[in-house]
Amino acid sequence: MTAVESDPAGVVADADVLVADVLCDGYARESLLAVRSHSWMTLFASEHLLADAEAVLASLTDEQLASDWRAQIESESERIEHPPGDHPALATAYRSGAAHLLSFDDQLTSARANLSVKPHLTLSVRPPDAFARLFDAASLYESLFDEPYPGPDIDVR
Amino acid sequence: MGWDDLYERAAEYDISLEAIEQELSAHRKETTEEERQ
Repeated sequence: MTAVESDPAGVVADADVLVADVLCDGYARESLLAVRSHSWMTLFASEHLLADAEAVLASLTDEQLASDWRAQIESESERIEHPPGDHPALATAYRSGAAHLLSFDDQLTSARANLSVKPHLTLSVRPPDAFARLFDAASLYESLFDEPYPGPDIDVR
Repeated sequence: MGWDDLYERAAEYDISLEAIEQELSAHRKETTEEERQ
């Protein structure tokens, strides 16, 4: 497979982060709000990734909430395809070229995991608290568009 | 429907991050076993 070009404004959230966004008011929500509030940023997700998150959400809450969440997230994310056996978050990041992968999984966010994926793609794998602390929308916008950052341009609520 | 509505409905549940991680781990293990068969 040919590697895609890296997308500095592309973000993938693993299923644990997607579910924590809904159920836990914390860094996962803060991180995804930062992505959703900028039209020039893209949240990538695969069918497998969304199915994982929906199943967990349905198991922990109720089917209707999970189904409504799925409809909402589908309208706000770009779909990526990958084989069923691949890790949904890593495969989505690789195939989309997203520069950021958010996960609570220690195995993904460890320095070793970062090293192992770097030969293949420019990907920063971080837990949401680190992303929320380090992500600078203004700096990224100005590097991409060469003009002053106008602030968030989408009312996410 | 929107995020505020989803967050409000989700707030009725008291779910920890640990519970989410455990559930996701169990779900992915089950999915992997199904794919192998």
